[in-house]
Amino acid sequence: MDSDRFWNPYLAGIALGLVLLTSFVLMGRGLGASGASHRIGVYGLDLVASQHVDRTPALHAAKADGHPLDDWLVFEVLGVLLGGGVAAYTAGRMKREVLRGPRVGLALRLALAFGGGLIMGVAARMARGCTSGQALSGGAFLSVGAWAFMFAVFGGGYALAWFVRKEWT
Amino acid sequence: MSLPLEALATTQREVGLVVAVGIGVGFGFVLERAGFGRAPKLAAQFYFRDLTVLKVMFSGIVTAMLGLVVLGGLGVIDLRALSETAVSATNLWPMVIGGLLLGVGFIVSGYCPGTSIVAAASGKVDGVFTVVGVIAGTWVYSELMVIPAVAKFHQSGDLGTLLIWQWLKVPPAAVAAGVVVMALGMFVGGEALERWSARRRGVEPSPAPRAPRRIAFAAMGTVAALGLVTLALPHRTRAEARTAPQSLAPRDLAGRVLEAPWTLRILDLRPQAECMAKRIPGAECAPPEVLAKLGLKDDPGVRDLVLVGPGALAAAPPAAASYPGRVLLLEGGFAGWTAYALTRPALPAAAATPAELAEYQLRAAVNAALTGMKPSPPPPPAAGGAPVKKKGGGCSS
Amino acid sequence: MTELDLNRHNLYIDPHLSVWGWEIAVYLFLGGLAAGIMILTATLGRAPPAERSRWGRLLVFAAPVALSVGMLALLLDLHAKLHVFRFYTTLRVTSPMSWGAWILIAIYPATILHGLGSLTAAEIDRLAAWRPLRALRLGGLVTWGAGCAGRHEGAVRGANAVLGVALGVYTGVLLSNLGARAAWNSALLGPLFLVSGVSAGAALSMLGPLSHAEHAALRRWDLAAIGLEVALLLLYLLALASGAERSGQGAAALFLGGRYTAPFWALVVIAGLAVPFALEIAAGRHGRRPTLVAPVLGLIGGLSLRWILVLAGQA
Repeated sequence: MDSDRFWNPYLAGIALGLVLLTSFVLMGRGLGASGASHRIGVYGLDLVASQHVDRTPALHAAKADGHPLDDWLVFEVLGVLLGGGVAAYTAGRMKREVLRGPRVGLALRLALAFGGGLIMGVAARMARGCTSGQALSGGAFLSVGAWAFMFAVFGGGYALAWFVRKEWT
Repeated sequence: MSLPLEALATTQREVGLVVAVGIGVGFGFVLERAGFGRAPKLAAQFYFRDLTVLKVMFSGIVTAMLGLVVLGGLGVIDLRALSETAVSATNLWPMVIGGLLLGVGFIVSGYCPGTSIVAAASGKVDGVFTVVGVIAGTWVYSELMVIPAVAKFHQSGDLGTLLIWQWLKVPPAAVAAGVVVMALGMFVGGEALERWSARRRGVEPSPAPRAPRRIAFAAMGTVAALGLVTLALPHRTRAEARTAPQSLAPRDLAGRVLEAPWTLRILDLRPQAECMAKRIPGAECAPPEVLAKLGLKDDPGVRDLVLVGPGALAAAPPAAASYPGRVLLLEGGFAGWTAYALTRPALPAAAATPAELAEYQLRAAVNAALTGMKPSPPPPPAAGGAPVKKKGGGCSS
Repeated sequence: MTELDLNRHNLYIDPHLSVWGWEIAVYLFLGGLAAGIMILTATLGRAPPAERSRWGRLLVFAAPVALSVGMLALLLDLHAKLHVFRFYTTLRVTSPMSWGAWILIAIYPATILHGLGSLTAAEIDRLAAWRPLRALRLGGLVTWGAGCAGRHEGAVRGANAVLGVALGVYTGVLLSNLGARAAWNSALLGPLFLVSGVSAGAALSMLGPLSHAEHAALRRWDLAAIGLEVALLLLYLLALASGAERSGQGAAALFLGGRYTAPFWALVVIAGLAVPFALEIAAGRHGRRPTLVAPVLGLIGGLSLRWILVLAGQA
């Protein structure tokens, strides 16, 4: 099975950088991910609780930006899904499974995945972007905030890593 | 052709969205092939076992950064203008705290928001849970924003759009070269850490293939050097542009005032009273005493600055010359403007070439738009309203 | 639908020009899907029974089910629901709608006969003994039908293939016949919807547990259908864009920079055609285990194509 053979990290990084550069040069904007999650989330919330969305300024602002099918990031994320799927399938890694460390149970792993996602959702809104939109895109542009953010991400991760080591090792 | 292609965000928006899908496909494909669709591999970064995250991320940043710096140095793109759209403004404190939180979420979930999408696309159920978690998290934060203290914190530490080289007041290529040196150091150090971690766990360190690594490092170093070489280039041209601003014909100014006024900042340098009486649409009255107080030096410089004197200007006054963007001098000053745009054009002769006719039509339209007068009918045999009255005018009014 | 004359497109006569909504798109999609399944099962039926999977044999029955759901959607859209029977009081040779109504009627016996013919003897017995059928005293009819289909196997398959093609083309002609709508005014819509239907039918089939041989055969059909669909889409756009009519150029512009550009290229061309094509090529060449991703994307693409075309024709 060749499911664990990946590209050389440096070459993969260069490919990633070229994709990012293309985005900058053609579109004048960087890559992103959490922004699209926000848009789609607000759209979903609006379907069930429209009044609440209208009352909450931060949600309403996203709604006022228009339909999610008219948003650059949403289309970009659609592409990420397709590209990731094709890459995984052609490499023989497309499989329904739960990836987890050897010492953690299924339910706990899924709960942690959700919880971690929740924290990242909060963090990404606070920092105006996630690792893709802020650290990668802003970092390449040498934005002061993006670099502070990036070092903070590694700092936060390393600080907590020892406490959750049973999840991964 | 000017990059980035502005039309993709405005008139050809829909095409821009298709481009977005294409770029996303590339992004997702590379992330997956780098191994970013697998949580254990990502989490191993934080236990020094496998520093793929660091290597891929910094190679990516370095590559894109060098591309931007070199293209900016060659004048293909305008880094400063691009940064206004491409980078979010720096709000230091929320970004630092948000970064720490995101790191925490990263090690707990095993993904970051982008890689969780790739994981979900390759069938990883934990990735799907993280995607849903991120969506829920953005809701939670939007709800929290209702609290005034959170909203205040969200705006704290505002430094505007601030790039490292603007902050350090050095040319971008110099910072880029520094980042490349730092990244290469981190790569070498990271590999040493991986070997150390493997030894500690009593595992044979996997021999990394040397060739691609060497090529990648050499390429990054070379492009960084290239970036430094372009340093000489743009600096001189920018300095020249500052001492000798370009001139702008009244015809071109009229076109831009009518079609894209938001790309211009027009300063009328004539005395206040004259300017107040009659000026170019959208112009600010800026006689010398006002000009000095405008703080043009600190303007972001996105719009082109157009200077209008009573007559032709020989050079821009020092206060305006310090403007970081393009400075343009109106040919012939306000007198030239009056002669071109505010005077009715003479009708072309009957034997006028198509080019002359087109020129007349344009001028007549400009004149009509700026003076509110009806233009004379453009085709030469027409009569009525013409400065030179011909025989048999008919129903002229 | 509010009764609408065929070649009229006038804001001052018809107060609402945008009268066809999701119902029509769903109907066209499910109709095409049924057509695809009929054609594909007719070809799959030639394989020896040992190579057939249970799912592959039962697939025939998906055609009448899909068609019924689609007609239900159509019924929802009809203004005068009780007047449906009038379609069947006449056959107008020049009206595709009239043709379609009769094709739809013929499809039920053809597919059900074909389905009965692909069942094994044991399955026939079980079906004949099934309580609701027994209560209606239809058990004998089932056994008779199975026997009849077995005796005239070739004819039943042929009828399915021919009716499938007719149904697939009809779903496109239904739109292209409304010549006043620029985006629909193309003879290519018939073949386009036919191959798209075949692709959708193959996608639906691949959602279930097929035998290896069936899967390989369906994949080849799907790849051919996707290839043809791309070619037809290009021809369709080219013909609109280069045609003499201004309205046609306007319709092409809807997909080449206009309002429907992003959904059309993103959902139909990239997600619905290019990615399934790449995945199926990989499945064939590297022997990757097939997943549900390619078929699901194919179905999404097929539905999006009709949805967008229905909307674009009324833009």
